[in-house]
Amino acid sequence: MSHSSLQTTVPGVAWDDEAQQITAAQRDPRQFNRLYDRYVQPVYRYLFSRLGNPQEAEDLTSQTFLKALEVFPRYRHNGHFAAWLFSIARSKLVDHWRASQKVTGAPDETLPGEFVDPLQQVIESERVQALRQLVAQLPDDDQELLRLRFTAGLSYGEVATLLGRSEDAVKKAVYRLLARMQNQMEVSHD
Amino acid sequence: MTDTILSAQFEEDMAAALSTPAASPQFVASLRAQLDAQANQRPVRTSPALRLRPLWTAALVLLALTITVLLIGPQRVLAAVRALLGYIPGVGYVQTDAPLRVVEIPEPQQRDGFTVTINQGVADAQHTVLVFTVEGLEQRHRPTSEDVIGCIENEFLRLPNGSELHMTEGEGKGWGSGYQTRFEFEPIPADINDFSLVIPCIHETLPGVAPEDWEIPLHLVPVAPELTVLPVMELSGGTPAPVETPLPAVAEPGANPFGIALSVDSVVELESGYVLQGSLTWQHEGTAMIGFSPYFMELTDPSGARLPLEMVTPDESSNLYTQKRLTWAVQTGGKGSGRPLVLTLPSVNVDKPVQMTFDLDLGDNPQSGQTWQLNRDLTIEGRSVRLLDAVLTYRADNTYSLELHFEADPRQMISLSVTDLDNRSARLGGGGGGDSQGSITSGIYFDYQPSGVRRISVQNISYLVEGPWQVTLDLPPAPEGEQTQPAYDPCLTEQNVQQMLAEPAASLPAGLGGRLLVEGPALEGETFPTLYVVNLDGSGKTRVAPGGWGSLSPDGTLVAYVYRDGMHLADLSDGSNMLLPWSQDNDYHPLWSPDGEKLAFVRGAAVHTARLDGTELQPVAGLGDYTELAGWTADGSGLLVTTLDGDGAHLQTVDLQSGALQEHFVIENAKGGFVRVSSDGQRIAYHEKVFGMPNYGVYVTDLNDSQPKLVAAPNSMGALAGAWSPDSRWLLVNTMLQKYAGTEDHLFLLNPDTCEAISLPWLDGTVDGWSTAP
Repeated sequence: MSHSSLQTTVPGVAWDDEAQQITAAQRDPRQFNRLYDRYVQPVYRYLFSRLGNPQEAEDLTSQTFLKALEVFPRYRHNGHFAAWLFSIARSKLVDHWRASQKVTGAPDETLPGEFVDPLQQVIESERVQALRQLVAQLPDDDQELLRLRFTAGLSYGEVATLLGRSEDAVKKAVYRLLARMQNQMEVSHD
Repeated sequence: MTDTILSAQFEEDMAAALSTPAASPQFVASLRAQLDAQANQRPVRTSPALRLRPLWTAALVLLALTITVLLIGPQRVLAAVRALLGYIPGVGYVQTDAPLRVVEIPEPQQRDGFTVTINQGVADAQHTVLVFTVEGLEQRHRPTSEDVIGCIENEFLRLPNGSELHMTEGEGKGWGSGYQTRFEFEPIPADINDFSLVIPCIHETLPGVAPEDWEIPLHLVPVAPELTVLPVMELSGGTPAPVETPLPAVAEPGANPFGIALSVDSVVELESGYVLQGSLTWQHEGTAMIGFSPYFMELTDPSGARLPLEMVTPDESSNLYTQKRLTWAVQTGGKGSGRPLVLTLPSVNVDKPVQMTFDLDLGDNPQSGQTWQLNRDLTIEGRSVRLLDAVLTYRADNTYSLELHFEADPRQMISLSVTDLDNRSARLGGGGGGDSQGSITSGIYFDYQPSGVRRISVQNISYLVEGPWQVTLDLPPAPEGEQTQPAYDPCLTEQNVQQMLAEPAASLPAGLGGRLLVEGPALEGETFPTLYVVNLDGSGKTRVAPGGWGSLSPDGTLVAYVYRDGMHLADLSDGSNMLLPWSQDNDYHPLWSPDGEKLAFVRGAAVHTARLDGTELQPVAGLGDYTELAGWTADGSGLLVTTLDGDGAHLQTVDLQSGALQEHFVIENAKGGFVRVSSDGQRIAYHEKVFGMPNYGVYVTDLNDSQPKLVAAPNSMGALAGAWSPDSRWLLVNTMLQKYAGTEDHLFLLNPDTCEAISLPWLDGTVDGWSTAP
């Protein structure tokens, strides 16, 4: 393979605004807030989807970003900042469950659908509610895949990085899941 | 797989089903304030990656030489020793106002195959510096993907009363089996001499696979007389300045709009050069960020010779960053052959938040690939920029990008970032950049198809402020015979590469030919590059297969390469292709033996050899994990490999019969050196960091490294050695020029002895092999 990784980072014309923000934040920690602005909502939404509780989601979001800021000097940008940040969020979740002795089963109890405002349920389409029920029946690994993709809004590449799988594999897995669920939806509506 | 075709509506429904409430604005603001407060307590680093536009800077270096220097600073003299500051090589700046203490070096601690060695430790009134090395990492300890993080817990110091001192700074280097780290912690109280270093887990290791919760007792003793604490000399305008308020010799700001001034505040004389620390200050009251890269400062002696500069960590007690001051420090390569020395900063980059909004009508049903010709002149903060067009593109990850293309006089603007005020995507993203031609691209990402009138807001602009700023340094005379700098006279530089591209040579050297194996760009939907063979003159191009780590057999008829399922063999004579049945999917980097009978390759982390039919498959004795293959010896009796440790990459020959290792030399490259061995086994091309340059340079030498020659300069240009010619006289070098949206690669044929170089524009990719044509 070509050794493109050989080249050290050269400051220069950069397309990726995120890479620029990372560079700036590694020089001046105060610039970290630009990365925070970019990711606070996805991280919060993801944590809320796992916890189902706004207070706990806020608490772990705080812990995630404070930890990220603390260890940021060690972060080496390889185009996967989101995956790196979410791996911290996930480790905070594990710590949280460990501390609350809910290591197993906790994620299954915290599907976003169970915490939706009743008014929202009324105005939400029946189809979306049915989908939510289907998601709740999925194994946790599959739910996690969908959460990272649709709740946190991570790209396939970022999900792949986070889960240590190839992007192709993640894409295939998500599409297979969606296809299966779409089939189930169609059958149930026939 | 099912045949179901997923509808966009279904994906939208799924997103709705998995949606969650957003965090409240109060929480977001509160956490932001908390992070800001934390960030303000941390020192700011001057980094080489500091908002620099190398193309522009390089151009302006030349420009700067042709224009009148704005202002020249006053004659500098060494004034006084900064009595409160010292410098310890390997540790950095230390405070000497209170008794300096050092760590008594304990015996290395060993657990389960891991060794932690304390290398150095110093405690002063401001901080505690520890340098330590960890050895023992194996591949199995790490995550299976390099992008999945392992342990990220920070080390800390524990005092006898149980209180903890936290890390304030960290830096280091890693290699396959270990790493060395220099950490700075909060200061240890003067009355405490015993403490411990706590390592919660070995960096990057997965939970449970490596020993955790290390606690290493350490003891502080008064600094020994033999420890070299170099004096830090304060620089002033001729009169010794009070230590508390050092008076820097400053090039006055003159006409520049920000009142920017450059100063050198102190100097430490090392054996091989100096450490200069200084600051960039400005007067502007606004929110602009001003930055520069020390790599693009120039330090010259009276003969005009340039001393290379390498960034080092500044003295952190000097308050690295205040609202209008940026502290930097560099180490010089050599001391120069005369006095005075002149430090020049050609330009700085200004990054400024702005507020400017304009409308862009995409219509009701915009299509991917659609372009809106706009040609609209905009004025942002009094600076002119022309919006040329906008392009909407559907991206592979189901998102859309709206790219805006601008044109500006580079002195007016070099980049800008925009956002869509009505973008309701889950994640707001985008980017921007400029190139040396005055074109600027800025983009916005959407997770839905945008349409209608978009309110586009320009949020940030960057532009250059030209100097130059200069400081004249009147340092003590250098020792007689002092070399000004290492003799950098590379064959390929960014400048002559650009020239050769503009005026390519008419023909190849007489008699030079052969067949190349090239790794070209991956085809759509394929993650592996495309391998093809082609004659040196560009004729006979034939696609082989998607794959990597290609190796051309010595007779040029077979290609061994790696694909998803293992190593493959392609027969160029009949186009056949087969997976080597004995290969595994963790085999990579095959290399043909000189007689074409065997392959050396890496399986997992271990080097193996085998005959093509899989017989005599065996690991090579004497080699551990993280050994990189470089080539075969000319007689096929051994392999050239590199092994990594804290010193760098050791180039060694391993005898295949006995496993005996013969060391040749060490390459200062923690990634292995990417060694290319010539066909006769006598010439080596490798990649090594060049002092004062941000990239690795390509060196050519012999097995003893007796006369290493830098053949490709690594300033803002990257370079990679490809393959040697069959007669071992020519080397193919890939150069990578920084361009908008990545690098632009160009292949050159280079004679390292004569520096004759020829551009090969008909080749696209990296050359993996070169054989005489069959």
